[in-house]
Amino acid sequence: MTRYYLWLALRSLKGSPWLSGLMVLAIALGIGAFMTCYAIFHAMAGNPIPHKSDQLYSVRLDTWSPDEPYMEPDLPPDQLTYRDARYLAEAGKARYQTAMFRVGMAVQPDNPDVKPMFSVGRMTYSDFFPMFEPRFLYGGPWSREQDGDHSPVVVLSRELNDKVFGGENSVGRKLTLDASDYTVVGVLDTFNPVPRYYDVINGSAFGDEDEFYLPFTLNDQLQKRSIGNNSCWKAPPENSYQGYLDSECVWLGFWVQLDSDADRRAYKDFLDNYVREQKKLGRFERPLNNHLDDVMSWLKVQRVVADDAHIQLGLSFAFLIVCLLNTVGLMLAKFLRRSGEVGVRRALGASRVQIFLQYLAESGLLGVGGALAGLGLAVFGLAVVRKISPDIEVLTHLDTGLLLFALAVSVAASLLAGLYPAWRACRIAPAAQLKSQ
Amino acid sequence: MEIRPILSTVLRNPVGLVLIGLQVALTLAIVVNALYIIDDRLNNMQVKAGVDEDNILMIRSAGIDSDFEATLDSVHQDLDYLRHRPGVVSAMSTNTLPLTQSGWSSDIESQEAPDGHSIDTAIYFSDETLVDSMGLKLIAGRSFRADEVEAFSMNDELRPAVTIISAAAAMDLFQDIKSPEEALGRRVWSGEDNDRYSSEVVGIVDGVKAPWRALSTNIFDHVMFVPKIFAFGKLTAYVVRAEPGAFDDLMKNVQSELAELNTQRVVMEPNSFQEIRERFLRADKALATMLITVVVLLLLVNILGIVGLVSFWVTQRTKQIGTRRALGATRGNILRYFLIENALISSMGVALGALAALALNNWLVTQFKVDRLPWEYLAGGSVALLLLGIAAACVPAMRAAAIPPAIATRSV
Repeated sequence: MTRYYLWLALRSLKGSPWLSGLMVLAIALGIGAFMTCYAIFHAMAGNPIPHKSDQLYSVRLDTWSPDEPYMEPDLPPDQLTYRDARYLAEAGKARYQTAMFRVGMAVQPDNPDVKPMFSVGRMTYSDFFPMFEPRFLYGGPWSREQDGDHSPVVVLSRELNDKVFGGENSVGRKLTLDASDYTVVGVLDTFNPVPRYYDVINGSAFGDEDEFYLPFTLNDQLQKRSIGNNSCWKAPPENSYQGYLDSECVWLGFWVQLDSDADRRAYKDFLDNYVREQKKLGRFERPLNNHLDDVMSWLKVQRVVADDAHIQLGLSFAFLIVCLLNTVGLMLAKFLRRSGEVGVRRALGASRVQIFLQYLAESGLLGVGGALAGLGLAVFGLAVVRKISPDIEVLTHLDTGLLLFALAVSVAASLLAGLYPAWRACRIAPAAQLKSQ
Repeated sequence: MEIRPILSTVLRNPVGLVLIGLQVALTLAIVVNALYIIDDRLNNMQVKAGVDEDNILMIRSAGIDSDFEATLDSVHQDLDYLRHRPGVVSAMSTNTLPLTQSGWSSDIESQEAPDGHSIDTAIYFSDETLVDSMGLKLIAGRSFRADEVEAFSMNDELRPAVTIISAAAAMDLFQDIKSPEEALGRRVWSGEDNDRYSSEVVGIVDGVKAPWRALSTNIFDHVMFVPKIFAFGKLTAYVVRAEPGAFDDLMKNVQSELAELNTQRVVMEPNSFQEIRERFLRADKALATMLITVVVLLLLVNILGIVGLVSFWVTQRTKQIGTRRALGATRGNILRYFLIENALISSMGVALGALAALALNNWLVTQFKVDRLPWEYLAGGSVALLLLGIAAACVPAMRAAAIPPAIATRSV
């Protein structure tokens, strides 16, 4: 029966190619615009580490000025001071924890054919790897002991390994950064979570991945400053690097992994007690205001989904609705124009339900056509977005899930649009139609 | 022709009213809000950075195995080379440029006593060639003197003795002055309660922009130049200004030329100011493009929808039309009937749409810091949509008017 309805529907669509084309176009435009915006929104708002996003927490402590909050309404700074980050990292009260910041260093390949290059990496603790779970192509992370020993080791991104070592297994080889040698212990596979949740503050949340990872403790000798954000409300106690480390400037990210609710509460208590102790030393002049945010709430706090993406999604959805209203009107016109045909079919014994289903099949078919054309438009739309904003390239891809979603939205929407016209068609009284023939 | 019978016809079969009315209403709500946002973004895209945008580039260099002194030597060597290079007007070391989205900022105050009035300002490192190197418009005072320029290591405090500020910063900081020139000779204060320091304003430049916009402050117009040579760790950056016509050659060769000068560092690819500008305006351009597309398509879909539905009604009422013509109605009467019918439906849609537009705007205002919609947009949009609706109805209405009275006598 379904096949017969579909055959009838196809015949009817072919019978009025202009009107049918117009309906498919209306659905396609709506779906195309909506899917373009939805794909970007979906990627921005996605969960980058679904299996443990509720176990990873970003830590914020309110070290800011007693005179004004870091940000209204009474929000603590987004990053930590060096002394707090270092203390928390080495206190080791959570299952995993790491302080981190981004550095820029010069890479000098041994291969004379490869020119020296400037590279951006991350200084962090070995816990970074079990926490954020990047996949290793070769080797593995360094150990906690190596953190403590200030071992000159490095983990490379796949990209840097390709550039410097031609993609070979470089574990055990030397990499020269700023004229010092480091032993490669691991090479990551491409590691580009979208958004790059563990650091949305320094660089774009959708930007390039770090090219190398060095033990945080090496900074005792390297004395690097972050190439990311640094905010100070008070001058350092003295004009030296040590003075900077002792200052109230915030420039480090800090993450912990807490596996259960009890762990989270215990860690919060630990933080609160730490701050109370520090208050006795004259620091932390603001009221107790420590925050633990898991991945998804952290992304929300940091407004990682741009306002523009919300606006685009909202307006493109409204556009889709207008297109559907339009389709309802056109379908009504199309179905009722064939009142005579309905009359004949009813008179020959077709039930109302059968007429209703026949026309619904026709709207479903229009939906499929609209979805296919609309996806073509969405692919084009995303290509335009890529052209205008190459820096958000990672957000402009349609995966299978999105394709199915678009198909489902389109068919559901066109069935919905077809409901009323099909109902009107099945209510046509056969007698009235036959009489006038 | 009376409106009442048309109205009662419309109300007796409200499907058309609902379909077209809702379409028009939603369209109006989207279009006026979108146009308002588009206008705002296109405005953003007109920004003038206050520098010689066509002829400057920025190029960064990172030392490899060098201490602060070596980095400084390298800066002097590079600048000496660049300033004597054919095709170069001037060059200086700096930390950043307008519109780069990255840089330094600080609060500055107008008086020695803390709690005085303060503003947030961007800070640019510069030297005595500032005006020529960036192509600035100095409206009062002077540029820095060579003897005022000092090297700056990351562990130093900034504390410049003299400063040059933007006219907007001068006006916003010193609220008692009538023109920016009056800020000359005044002092800009910073520091903590027990450790205050100040810089004398020796020059005022007009129109130069900060590296970024901020929602909460107007930092975008607030700029403060300090006479310091910038060497952040081993990183530095140069702004180089080319003679007209010599820019492309400079852009192509400057990286390799500097790299040859000193091999103990990495010279990064230069960025022309136009690239910096393009990156800065990307989000605005993307949103404006998307919204313009939606507005155009929306109007198109609306026209098609109205033409389609009115055509259907005309077909449905062919016999009635024929009968009316046979009873003496003129073509004009028929044409007017459909146009008035459409105008009635469209105006109800527009009325509903105006409310929806305000509601949508309210949502945008509370959620996304969009400004309140000026009433002109709403009024203009309503009239335009009404006219568009009537124009779209014209096509099928004219076909209706052409129906011959004889049609009434036939049975089909």
